[in-house]
Amino acid sequence: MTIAVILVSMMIGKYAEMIAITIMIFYIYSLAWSLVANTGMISLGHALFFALGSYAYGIFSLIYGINMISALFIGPIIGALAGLAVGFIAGRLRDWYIGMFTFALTPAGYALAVSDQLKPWTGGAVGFAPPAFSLSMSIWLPFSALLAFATYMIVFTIQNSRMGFALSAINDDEVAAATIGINTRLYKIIIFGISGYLSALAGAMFVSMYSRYISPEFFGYPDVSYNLWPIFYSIIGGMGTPEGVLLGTIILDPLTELARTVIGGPLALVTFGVLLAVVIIKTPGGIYGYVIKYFEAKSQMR
Amino acid sequence: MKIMAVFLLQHLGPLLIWGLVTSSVYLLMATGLTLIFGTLRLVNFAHGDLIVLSAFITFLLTTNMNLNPFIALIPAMFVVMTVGVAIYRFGFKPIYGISKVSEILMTIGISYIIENAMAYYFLPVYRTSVEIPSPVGGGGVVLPGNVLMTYDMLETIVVSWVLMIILYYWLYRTGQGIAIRALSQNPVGASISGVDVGRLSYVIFLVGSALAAVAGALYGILYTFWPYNGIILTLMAFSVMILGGVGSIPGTMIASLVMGYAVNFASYYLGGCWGEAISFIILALVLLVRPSGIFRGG
Repeated sequence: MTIAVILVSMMIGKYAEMIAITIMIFYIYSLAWSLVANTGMISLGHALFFALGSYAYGIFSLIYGINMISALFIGPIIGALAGLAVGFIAGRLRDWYIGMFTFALTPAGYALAVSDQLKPWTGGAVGFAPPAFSLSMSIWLPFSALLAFATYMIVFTIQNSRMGFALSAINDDEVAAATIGINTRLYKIIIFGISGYLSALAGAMFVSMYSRYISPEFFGYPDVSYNLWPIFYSIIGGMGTPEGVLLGTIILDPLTELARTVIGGPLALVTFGVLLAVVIIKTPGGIYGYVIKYFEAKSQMR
Repeated sequence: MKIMAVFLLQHLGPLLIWGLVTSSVYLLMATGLTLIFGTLRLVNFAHGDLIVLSAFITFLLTTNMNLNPFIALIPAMFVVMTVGVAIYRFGFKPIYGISKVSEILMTIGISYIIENAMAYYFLPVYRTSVEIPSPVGGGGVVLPGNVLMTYDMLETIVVSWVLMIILYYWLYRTGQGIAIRALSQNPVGASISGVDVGRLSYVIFLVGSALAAVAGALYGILYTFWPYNGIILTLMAFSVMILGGVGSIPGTMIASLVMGYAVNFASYYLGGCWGEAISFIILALVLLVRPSGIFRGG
């Protein structure tokens, strides 16, 4: 597997490799988002965790001089703590209120990042560049693929454990789940913590291997894009299944890259908004749901 | 000690006036949202973007055609109402009642579309308040205590509170208003007793968007705006709505006063970025302590 990935990365060009890395990063980010969404909580502020991860990685490696690979894994703990705190409040709330609350987090995070008090660490509105990633460039793709696979395994394990069944029970009917003795609030807090860690890991990877610069716009404010990418990929790909999310990321991530360069600017983002709206109305199961339905219909015809 | 007292008190007059102006704008922004959420159980995340859209159309008409902003408000209102109804018809109606998840995701998608379309068409640059001329030709009065109150501030307060009185009368004294309140209390019961829910939903979105349009023009006259302002305005409206209790007009009035003064005092005494932060702190606290809002019994 790993050898094949190395061979592929030698064959295809540098640009394609970069896109492949972003696919891995956004796969982790989208999986983290859909982990929370599959519990019935629609978070509209996951960019908070993403940005916290990237800032923590940058600050740990630049100011505290922690080994970069350690910082990549230690930094996201900040995201996990934030996730637990957010889950503590969001666990008490219902559908729309969770959306509003999490949506409010991103401007608050942005305000913190650009505030005068934290400027020595965050670099204010300009942001800052962390030192170059210590891992050699040729193994970035296998390394990120390994992390994406690890994330997939984590999500797979959660979904097939006692916790996963409890989470899907909460998603189906929270009151019923509470009646049969599931501590719904505790599970919600834990899942937000895990999701916060994974999103923050994606943020740290994004900085270390792709953008190499940290700016407050990672908070998804004033442009909500960083908030919306995981939602796009998960929903259009097919929420609820890691395979659907993978499909969405693989198809849409190169497309976003293409749209950004060919159409450019806000108009590209409008097209993605329209795409999302159409998918929500027409095929709630996303591309993966459509594929599955197609194969089922085919097998029935035979 | 004396210096401290001077610092605390010297701008108290302007702060009191600006608090009233800010809360009047918040009131207009939040009532549209609370009307829609209170009856249809939909949060229109694009509400802030509708406000900005109205400000931009007013700006466009006043600069290109030299119209008075209050006259420019009429076509702006028409466009915003059309967009608002289109959001309901093509965005929410096909998925209404099927799944909450789809509704929440749809609303953020719509907000994203409008925002970026505005950034494309009006360019992502800041428009300052002077770019929309004063509808009454500027000027102002000096209140006792050496406090300047421009006519623009006065007209914002008057327009906002007069509209609230009209809205209150409409909701509590007319047949349609009573039908809307019935809908908010019990949708099934209302439709059994002969309320045309489908038609009323359009009316609610029309009125909500119209309020957003008025708020947008007033906001554009007084403040700086740009295409990505929608998020922050939506969130301000959320905070006011949640604080006041969803669907309650008197609660929204009190909440907007609280929020307007809190924002002004916080940004003066604590520093600029705290103005917006305080509203999120209030939002988080209210959601943590009492998610139904403080001004609603039970």
